[in-house]
Amino acid sequence: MATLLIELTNRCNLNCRHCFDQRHGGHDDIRLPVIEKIIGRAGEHDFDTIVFTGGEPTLHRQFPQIVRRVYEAGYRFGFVSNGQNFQKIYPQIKFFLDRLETITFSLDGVTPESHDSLRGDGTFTNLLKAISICVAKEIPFTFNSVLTAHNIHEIELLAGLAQQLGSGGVRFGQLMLTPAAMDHGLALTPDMINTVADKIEKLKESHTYPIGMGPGFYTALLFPCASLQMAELTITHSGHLALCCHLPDHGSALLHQDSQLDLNHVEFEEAFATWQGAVQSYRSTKKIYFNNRGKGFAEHLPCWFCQSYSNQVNWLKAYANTHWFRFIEENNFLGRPSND
Amino acid sequence: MIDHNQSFKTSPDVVVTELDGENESVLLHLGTKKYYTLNETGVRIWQLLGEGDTIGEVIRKICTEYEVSSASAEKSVSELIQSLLKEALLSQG
Repeated sequence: MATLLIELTNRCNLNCRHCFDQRHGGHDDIRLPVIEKIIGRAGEHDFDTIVFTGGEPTLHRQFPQIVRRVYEAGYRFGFVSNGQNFQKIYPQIKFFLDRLETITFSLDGVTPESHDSLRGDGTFTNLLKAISICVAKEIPFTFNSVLTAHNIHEIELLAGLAQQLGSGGVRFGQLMLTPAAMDHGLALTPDMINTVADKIEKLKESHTYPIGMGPGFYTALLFPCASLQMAELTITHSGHLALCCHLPDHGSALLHQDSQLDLNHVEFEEAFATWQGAVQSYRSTKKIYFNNRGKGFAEHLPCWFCQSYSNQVNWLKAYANTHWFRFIEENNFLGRPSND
Repeated sequence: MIDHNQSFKTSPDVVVTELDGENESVLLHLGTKKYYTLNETGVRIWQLLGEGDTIGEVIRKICTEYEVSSASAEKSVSELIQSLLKEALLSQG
């Protein structure tokens, strides 16, 4: 079975220092007819779980109604949230929680000072209030921690805190490289990413508590992500099918401009078939590319190929004296890879 | 016998979360990472203690607000205070 990731809105109630550049500061919600289109047909294509993302998905003006519709249609669901709005939204969605898979809350520091310095004053306490409700009402929740240059020294502590607070697990993601990440000094270097990955692997070995790694870390797999295995489909707030939740709406987004992928204009079947074709095309390109070139270190960091494929690394030319520019330049990732 | 003139301080390490429409609150002790649920009366006692009321004042207000006997209120307040002290959610003022 497969999972739909629906970006309900690009609005957010926070202004995090490590947020993707030019994202999540918008004012657009996905339209309800698009949601109805998805709910009506996705089940026929083996999608049984819907995860709402954003922006902050609970800010969608019809969030409780959308949860209700998804529930009534028989899907399991979950959502990713910063937790700031949960105390308000909980009374409106509590009737549908028996089909809740999990709520994934963002936890980026082990103290108010650490978390709040990335996410804003008072956000740590508000997050604790959200999970207090979850614990009291036995609502399943997990944490997602984005590792940056600011908090990589807290990995072990973050895992410990996540467990102590009663979450069902913690997943560590690495900060996607954006101009904002570079400007704020939050970007991890290639060496830092390797060190972080080693630390997480050791934590996984020494804990029975579920600890996971998000996409983008070193991997031997050519198609490591659920979306590349066609087990996960991302739909943006504008109603477009996309390749990855990290890629829409910044840079020259992969797939995004194709009207055949726009659920405002085409039916789900048509858009889904186009998406499948696009993913197959991507897979072929990547396979041939690596058959021709072999695989170096850079190719084992899978997000770089995707970002390069979708023309999202050229901005690094403005950061010519950085580790990452040299890394990308040395590995010929400036410009879209082809299978020539 | 409890001292009706005794007052207390609620721990600054506690995050209190009200559950809208459910007349209860959750306390999270940041030191121990333990959670506690208080019912409506418990929440009210917690609030009054946090405002610096003595045990006697808390009992009188609970009697009035919930229309219970003085003996019943004293028992409830006393038991809750003992529990809160034991869990370091409260300290003597």
